[in-house]
Amino acid sequence: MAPVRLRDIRKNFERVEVLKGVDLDIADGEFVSLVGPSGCGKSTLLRIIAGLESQTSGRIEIGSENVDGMPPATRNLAMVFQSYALYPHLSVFDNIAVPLRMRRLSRLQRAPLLRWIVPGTRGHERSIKGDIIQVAELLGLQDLLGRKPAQLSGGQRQRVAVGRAIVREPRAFLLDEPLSNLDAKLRVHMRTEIAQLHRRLGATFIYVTHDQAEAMTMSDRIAVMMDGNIVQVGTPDQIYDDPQDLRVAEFIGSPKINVLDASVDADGRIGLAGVALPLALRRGSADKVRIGLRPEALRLVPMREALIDGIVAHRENLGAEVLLHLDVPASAQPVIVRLDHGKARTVAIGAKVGVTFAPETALCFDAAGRRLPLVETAMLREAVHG
Amino acid sequence: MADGSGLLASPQAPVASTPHRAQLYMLKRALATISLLLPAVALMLLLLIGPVATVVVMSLTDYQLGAAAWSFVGLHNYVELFGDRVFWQSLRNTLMYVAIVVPASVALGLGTALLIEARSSLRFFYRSVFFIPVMATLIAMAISWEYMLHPQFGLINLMLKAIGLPAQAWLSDPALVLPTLAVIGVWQLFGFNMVLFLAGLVSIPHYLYEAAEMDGARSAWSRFRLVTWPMLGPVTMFVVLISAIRSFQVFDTVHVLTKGGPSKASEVLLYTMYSEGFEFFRSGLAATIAVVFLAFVLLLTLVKARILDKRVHY
Repeated sequence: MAPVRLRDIRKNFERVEVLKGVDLDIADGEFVSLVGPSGCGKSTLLRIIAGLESQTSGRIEIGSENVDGMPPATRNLAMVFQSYALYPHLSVFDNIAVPLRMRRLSRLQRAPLLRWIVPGTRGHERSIKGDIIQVAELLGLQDLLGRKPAQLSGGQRQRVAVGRAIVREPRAFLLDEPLSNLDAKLRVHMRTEIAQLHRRLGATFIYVTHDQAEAMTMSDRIAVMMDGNIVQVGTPDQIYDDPQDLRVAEFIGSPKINVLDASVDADGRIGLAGVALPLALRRGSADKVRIGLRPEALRLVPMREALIDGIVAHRENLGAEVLLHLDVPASAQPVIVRLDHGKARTVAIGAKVGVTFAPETALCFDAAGRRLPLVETAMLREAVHG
Repeated sequence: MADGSGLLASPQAPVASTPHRAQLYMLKRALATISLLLPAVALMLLLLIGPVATVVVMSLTDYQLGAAAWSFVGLHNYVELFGDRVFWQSLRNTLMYVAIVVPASVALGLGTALLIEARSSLRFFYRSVFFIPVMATLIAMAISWEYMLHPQFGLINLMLKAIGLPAQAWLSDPALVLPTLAVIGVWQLFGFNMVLFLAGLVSIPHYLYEAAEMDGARSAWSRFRLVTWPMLGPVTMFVVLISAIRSFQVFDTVHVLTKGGPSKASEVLLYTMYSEGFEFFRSGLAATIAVVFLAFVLLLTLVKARILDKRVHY
């Protein structure tokens, strides 16, 4: 087990710059997700850590050892591939045995037939078998050891791929979208299993995903990547509650955060389509801003107390909660309000409703998408609560 | 096909109310099936099964090419063939030729395919160069080889002399003639095998090599053993079979270069068949050799279907 440290990693494919100077410190035993939309460079970064791809510039340290230029086999990392990459001609047992045989047996001990007359092969094979049985028990693969990958379901193949990774003790585990080929139900289940596996092994996990829910549910920390940069690194709570960039706020959270264009007057007070909001910026920091409001930060209120009003265009009933889509004049996109099951019962499509929010739940971004600090004044507080 | 189109035009026929109409429907259906099968069956009978059956029947007769009369002689031709020293020599030579050409052309084809696949530069050039012998007319190539192998002024002997080695009588030394023909066979065949292996290599998913590297396969050899060789299993099977059948059919080079000589040292099965049938006009005996030849090809195909298919397909 080891910490992983990335310093100013850059990668060019031909003339395209895929990674633009990535810095990241991953502590020993930490579960870090690299999350971002497709094409943001997260998989390339993982492959560079693995050694399957070489960086154009920058340094990688694994356990305080510089691994630049080292081939993947000597970095002692384990990887779970999106396609699982199981060897189709080998049984489950032999698939899991590959990394052990490659490392514990000499070249002669791996040679076909000849291997059995080389001293030590039998002893090694016995210990390998013991290790595989242990892993199979941990992952519930005992009954599948004799099967070929083609005879397994997607979920079982995924388990075998995980088994092949954990059977030895690598310095870190790299997981490249391991759940994206599974159906929705199994994906949710495997999320829990992988998180539990991480707790049990206490090993360093680097997990690449485009699914923000996977990142939020499993990680100790999340690194959100956009266009070849890490935009923000933090715990799931920090990333969700305190995004430093509009792209992060929009990427994390489902349904997506509502973003409204707002204007700022000379005193820094923020107004939305002529309605003054209980929000203000430091004087002169910007004249146009974008306000981000999470769907659960909005609540229905009588029209006279409303800060935003709109017409209910659509209702999504998810059982425990209801999502209202409101057509709001100030926004091209519908504003989504998340309500508890009981509270939306009376709201019909086509009705005009008013919503409000607590000032501290609003997130303010400048035109370039950078987060701006809000100031709260006594007067504004009065305007809301009085 | 009036009945066929009538059938298609009345899909409601099966729900007909009377038993009579149901019977009529079944009859129409059977007629349609037969008329649709007929063209394919007729062609197969005419072009494949018919000739094979004719050859088998002919092998039981004393028919001579051009003769007006013939009679059945039972297994006489087989008895004569299996008692003939030349036939056994011919069979031995053919098997020896196959035993040299198949492993050499498969190994060489795989080797060149791996080398070409390893580097991206000049891939197209090498692929074309090694494929040229496959496309060339073998008779013409055999004539070129004849001059290259000429004992006095052939290019090969001149080169040997130039580096101080003794010249060889490639085509007239009984010990050398079969290996020499085999080398020409390999030269002609391995480019074809290479192309098949190249296609097989391209279809191996790249992530398997990456998984192998992560799993600790440091050397190219261990990655070859872990991924390439097993994944090429079906292609290798096919290549071995095709090479075996094609080298079993060796004839052109023998006919042009040696005529089976010297003293039957390069006599091969198809050449024996040719000389029996078209030089001595003993068509019955030639047909018998053809049946033996057919049996070998059938055996190879069965071996592929029965044993090896199960082991190389996933």
